[in-house]
Amino acid sequence: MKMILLNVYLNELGIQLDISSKGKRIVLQKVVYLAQAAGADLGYRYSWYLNGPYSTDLTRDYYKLVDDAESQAEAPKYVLSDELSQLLESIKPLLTKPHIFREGEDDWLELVASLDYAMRVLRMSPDNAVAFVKGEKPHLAPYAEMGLNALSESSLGLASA
Amino acid sequence: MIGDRTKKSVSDPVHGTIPLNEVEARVMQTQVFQRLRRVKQLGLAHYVYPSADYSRLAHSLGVCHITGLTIQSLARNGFAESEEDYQYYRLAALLHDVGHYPLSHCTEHAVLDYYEERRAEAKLKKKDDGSGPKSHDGEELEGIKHERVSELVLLEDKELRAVLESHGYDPSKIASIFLRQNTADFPLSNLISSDLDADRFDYLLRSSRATGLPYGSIDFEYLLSQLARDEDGKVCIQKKAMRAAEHFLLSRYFDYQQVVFHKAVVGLENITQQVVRSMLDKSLLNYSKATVREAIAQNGFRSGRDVNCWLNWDDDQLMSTILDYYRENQDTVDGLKARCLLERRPPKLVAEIEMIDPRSDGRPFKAFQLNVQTAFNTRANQIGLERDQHFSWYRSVELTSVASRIPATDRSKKFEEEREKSVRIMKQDGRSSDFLFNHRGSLMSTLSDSALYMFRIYVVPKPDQEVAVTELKSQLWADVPDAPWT
Repeated sequence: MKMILLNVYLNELGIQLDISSKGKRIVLQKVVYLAQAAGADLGYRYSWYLNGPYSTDLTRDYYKLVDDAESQAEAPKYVLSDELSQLLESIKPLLTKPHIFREGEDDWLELVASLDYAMRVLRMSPDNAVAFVKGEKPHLAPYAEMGLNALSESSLGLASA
Repeated sequence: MIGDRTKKSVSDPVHGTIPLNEVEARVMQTQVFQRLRRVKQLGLAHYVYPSADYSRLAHSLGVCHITGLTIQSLARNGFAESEEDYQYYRLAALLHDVGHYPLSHCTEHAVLDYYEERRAEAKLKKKDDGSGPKSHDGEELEGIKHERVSELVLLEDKELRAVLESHGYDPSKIASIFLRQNTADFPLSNLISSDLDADRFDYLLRSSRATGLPYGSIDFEYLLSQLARDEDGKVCIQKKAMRAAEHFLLSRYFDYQQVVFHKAVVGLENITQQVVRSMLDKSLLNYSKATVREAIAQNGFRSGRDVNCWLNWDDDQLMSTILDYYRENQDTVDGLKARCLLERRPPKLVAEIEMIDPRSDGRPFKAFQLNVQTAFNTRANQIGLERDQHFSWYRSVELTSVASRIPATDRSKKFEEEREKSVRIMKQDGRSSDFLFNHRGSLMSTLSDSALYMFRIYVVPKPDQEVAVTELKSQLWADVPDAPWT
């Protein structure tokens, strides 16, 4: 059942089970992080690694899911609960990178997930979170404020706290 | 010299003497830490190795000690930490296991499996019949890993908090180290959780001492003396200690085969997990996050065997609950399983195959596994075994692994982020480092392409099925003669 849930959840978020590149795996990790932060919790807990928030258990599960033909066959028979669907819907605007963001989708998600992690888990103020992300991720530094603004306009709400 | 203020000395069979300073001695005296005396480090391994019944408390002291030695060694080699950070790391090591469930990982696996399934049921509904989720989601349906329970203990237990805060230490910062949440402020978090960490060092040394197996004969002090940090701040070892590091990794591999994956230990622990899941299902136990949080917040012992009191949650209480469960379910398969545990009668191992094969391709082994399972299912029907009387167990074990589940050496880079936890060797330039398994002179570079695949089928026979089940083993050998039987 757990694998079916992960499958349906990722489908709802428009994430394909294609994890052939690091960029795609970063997208999956960060999308699930942000969706969970919005309240659509699957129980994956994140630690801090090179590319920001990362869950070992999610890694283990999505590789398992890729090999799990039974769960993939069963998944189309299910939909998410209304509450979970609404929560996922609420986070979708944040998942789309702005036109003026010149880097990749994985970079955008890494940026906003890292900012949220800095505020939510490390309990930093928005200003400190921006400084932290600039220091940890120099390639994303020019966009740190843009990421913070996007977070403050999203359903996550921490950035304006 | 950092860490030179001994308040208390603890005698230890592995490390000789473990010095503790004042805050550590006071932490040791808290009730939540003392509870660890009553939780065995190795689950049910003592059913096979009678002396392997040491506690999480002894192990936690050992991890704290090794963490201190490691940071001191780095300081001697020119990579000093501040006194405050040194203390934070030691406290994180001391408290990283304070949230372990009774019987340690044995129960933890059952708890996580059980609540993950309940949670999934609560979040899905069927398309065709429109039936909604069976229950509401929330902390009542969340099972959490012991590290997260440790965090809850640090945040919720008043006595522990008071001790830490009175010495100026922030409990949430301590938790962030063993949860690896804040590697920017605590870059040495890997010392408590990685391939070559204090946790694994103490585990191997202590397990070896307690079981009588020889795998603890590692060059521990030499390894510590050769620690360094590269130009990016990553902890690594000097190249001349590469053999000692490989010896350690191999020793760990053999220890796992002999202790953790021992056929009787695996059989008994799986049965315990099945019984625990049944008791969770019948609300005879409740280890949900909501209950764990509430139990910790009780802050003190409660009378009798109050199931909602954290300090009461120890191995004896769980075994006693299982005994009660057995008394009331003697005529059921669950009762049969509980009795196996109480009387130390492991389930019958009727099939066991294993082989070492390329790690990237488990298909040949999967084919054998399927053939053996199919042959077993046919035989099981013939002798009337019920579905819950048997179970299968599968593992693929990389010869060098990170965090017990994720291969450190994955050349397809599937787990690249977690490779931060693997052993690194300082390069000739004395500034940069690379992974041990990338070193062409390393045994690990060859072994990393292989995995040991294991598959077993266990049966819990009823008294009138004993003979038929005993014969199953040879019958299955005959049914699938080409399988890699052990």
